[in-house]
Amino acid sequence: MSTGNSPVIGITCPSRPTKWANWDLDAVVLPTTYHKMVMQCGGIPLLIPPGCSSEVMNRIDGLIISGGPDINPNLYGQDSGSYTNEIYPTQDASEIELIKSAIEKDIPLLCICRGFQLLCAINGGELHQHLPETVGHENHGGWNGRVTEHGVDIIQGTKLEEIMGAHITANSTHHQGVSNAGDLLISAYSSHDNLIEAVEIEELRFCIGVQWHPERIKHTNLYLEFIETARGSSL
Amino acid sequence: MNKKMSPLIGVTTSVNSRDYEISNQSVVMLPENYPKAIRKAGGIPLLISECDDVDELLDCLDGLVISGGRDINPNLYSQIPHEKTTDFSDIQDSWEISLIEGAIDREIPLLCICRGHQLLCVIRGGQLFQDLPTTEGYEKHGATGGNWSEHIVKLEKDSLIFELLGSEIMGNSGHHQGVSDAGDLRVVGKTSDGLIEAVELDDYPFLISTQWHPEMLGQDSVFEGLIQASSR
Repeated sequence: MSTGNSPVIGITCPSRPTKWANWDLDAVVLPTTYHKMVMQCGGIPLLIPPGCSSEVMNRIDGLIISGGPDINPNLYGQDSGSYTNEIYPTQDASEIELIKSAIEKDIPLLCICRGFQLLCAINGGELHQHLPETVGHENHGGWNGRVTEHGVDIIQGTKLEEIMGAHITANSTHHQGVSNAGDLLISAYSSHDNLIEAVEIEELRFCIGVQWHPERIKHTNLYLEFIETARGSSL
Repeated sequence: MNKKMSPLIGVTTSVNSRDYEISNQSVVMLPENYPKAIRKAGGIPLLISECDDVDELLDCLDGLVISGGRDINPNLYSQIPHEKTTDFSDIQDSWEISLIEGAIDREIPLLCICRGHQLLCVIRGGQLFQDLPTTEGYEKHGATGGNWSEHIVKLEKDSLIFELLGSEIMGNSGHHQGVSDAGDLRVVGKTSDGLIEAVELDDYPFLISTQWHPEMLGQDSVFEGLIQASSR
């Protein structure tokens, strides 16, 4: 934990087979947008590779579960569909342990895209495995590298509404989506096809999951509130 | 620090542009064998990336690894770039120089690998060969067609690396640059052709610096040494 005033923010990241220069190895890869946004909002970012135990939770003030590969459908009681083909069980297991620890210790938690889907799955929820072939969501948005935008309606009285207001424009680059948020409070739906876009746990100081990528489109308010709450942990 | 807690070991990462999730995205990258080696030795590996305030970062860490990566800017050792010296990053160079200098000021246990080894030597007044395959006497270093070379490194007695690895090891080599002058550091490992493969700093609690990649070769004792020193 930081000895100064800036909160330490852990950010999970995936590892995948990767080639570059004369290398061909499993490598941890994460877009720079996450840690840059954390620094911009006054936090100290530390990236957590797959396989990390929850012991690290004693040393950080806030946790971000980042976007990344699909989660194992067994986690929500389904078999893998034909579009769910890259599964990383080590990352799934360590992120589940970290999320549970954050909730138990009430450490501020922000779950993005894959992180949002994982948060829902381990709280009794379920996913649509491939939106382009899911009735009613065929035109949800871009995936496989394509990015689109759509409106998101935020439910009145939620923490997310307090931070972001009643309506925002979100980016979309995912092919799976949450069909059932389990025990979590749903705080937002997409405007055009009513997909669950955000959840929260009201009783905790900060526990929010969002389907979109706020760090890529300057949704700074969400990160600022998260980091300010984490700052409270470091005092 | 509470004695029961595992030490936090920061590992530097490199920023590259890749088609990742979306095209031409700026990403941080690190081979996973670094965090795996640290975890196996009992530490908690956390990856760090370019930032302005190095002091805040060092406050959080018990030990530091400067990892392998791209070439450093030859201006830092008063040379002009060779035609094979490309893709260097002034931002990464200055960030890692601040990290190494800050770690040495605080006497934080430090492990410098490949690029990290070369940068440490430059900071301490040393010099590099910019392209070994075209440097007379050193043509056998580096990778050919993606295949890394191997060579024996002899380690000096009365050094930390000798205590951890013994009198000689088989090093791997995927690098095209090498250290020609280690500045004020003590040279403790060389190949038979005389390339400086390991250096140390006298009277420092724990500093290991290798041209080869111990995390790729199962040299667990190097990481166990780092974790032990970082747990104090």
